This record gives sequence, C-alpha cells and structure tokens, in this order.
Amino acid sequence: MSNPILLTLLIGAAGGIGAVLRYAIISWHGALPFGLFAVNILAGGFVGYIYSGSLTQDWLVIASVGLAGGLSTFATVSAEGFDYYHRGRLVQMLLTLVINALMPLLAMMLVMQFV
Amino acid sequence: MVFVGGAIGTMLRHLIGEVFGSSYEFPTSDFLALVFVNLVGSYFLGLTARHPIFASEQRKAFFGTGLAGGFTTMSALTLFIDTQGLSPEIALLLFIGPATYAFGWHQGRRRAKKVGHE
Repeated sequence: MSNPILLTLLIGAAGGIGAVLRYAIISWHGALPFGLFAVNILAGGFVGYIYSGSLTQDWLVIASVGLAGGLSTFATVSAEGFDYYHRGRLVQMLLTLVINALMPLLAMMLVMQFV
Repeated sequence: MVFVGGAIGTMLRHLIGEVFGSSYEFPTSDFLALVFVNLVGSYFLGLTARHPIFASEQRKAFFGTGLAGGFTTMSALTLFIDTQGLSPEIALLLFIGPATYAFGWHQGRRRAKKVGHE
C-alpha cells in the first residue's frame, strides 16, 4: 500500500471495530474485571495469530495496530487498578495489573506455538 | 460514538508511533511511544470519568471508551514484552498507569466541585 493516508484510515477503521468489540465485551465484571481480561487476552492471542501468518506488512499493521490495538486497552486497566486501590482492595488491584500483563502474553505465545 | 472515538484514538496512536519511530532507534522508539500513549490515555480516561464536560453518556462513550481506549494499547505492550522481555521499566509502567489515571480523575473531580456538579 503506497498511500500512507489510506493506510492510516484503514488502521483507524480497524481500531473503531476493535473499540466496538471491546465495548461489547468489557461490561462483564465480577469479583475481578473479567471482560477486561477477555479483551486483552483476545487481542494478545490475535496478535500471536497474525504474526504466525503470512500477511503483508501493511495488513499486519492494520490488524495489529488497528484491530488488536483498538480491542485491547491500557487505560481501562489503569482505571480498574485505581478503582480497586481507591476502595482499599489492594489484592484485586495487584491481580488486575498482573493478569492483564501476563495472560495476554501467555495467550500470544501459546497461539504462536500451536498455529 | 465508540467506533468514531476508537478510530480517531487508534489513528493518533499510529501517528505518534510513526513520530517516535522517525526520531529514535528501535526498541527505544517503541518503548517511548508505548509510555506516551498509555500514560496520556490513562490520564485522559481519568479526566473523562469525573470532569463535568464529559458527564453525558454520549461524551463518555466517545472520549472515554472510544478515544482513550483506542489511544492506549495492551497488545502492543504484550508484543514488546515478548520481543524485549519484561523489564523493570515496563513493570513500573503498569503501576504508573493507575497513578496518571488518578491524576486525571482528581483534576476532573476538583473541576466538578468547583462548578457545583457534585
């Protein structure tokens, strides 16, 4: 894709789709923010899948920066972490931060290993 | 609203990645871009949570869930940890995120109190 503006617009469209998917999933909340775990783990697994495939560089960027980037979120991890801290629930805060850092990584490595 | 905000946030994140990529060598460029987007996005989400200008559900969906959510990324951070390892700086970033969110949250709440919104 030689047109950087078109590439940026496609990345934006993919990011918008990712954000809508995130919006639909992230409301799943129990003792821990399971919906948040789900979107970040799904995005990590998806990145592992596309990096195992044979996409061209441009489509790789659209899928990883756009779709996976729009689906995953760091800001909500920060929000949940602060919310637990604010309510004095330090164990849940630590679990939220650690699970969101490690489980997507594990998902990505597993997908890369088996796909 | 979430789609449009997410699309704009993602495009901004991509452009910031390009700017850092043209200014620094890898992996410093990726690390600095990740720190920048994730901390600025966390601060902005905190602001949207309490600032009276973002009080309506539509504005929260556009600026918070869409823009701040799309601007920040965990998947790029995951990829970075996979290629570069989990460094102390990355571990620290995970804890600074909630602190910058809190900064925006408190600023928003202060403004809300000032205008009698809460």
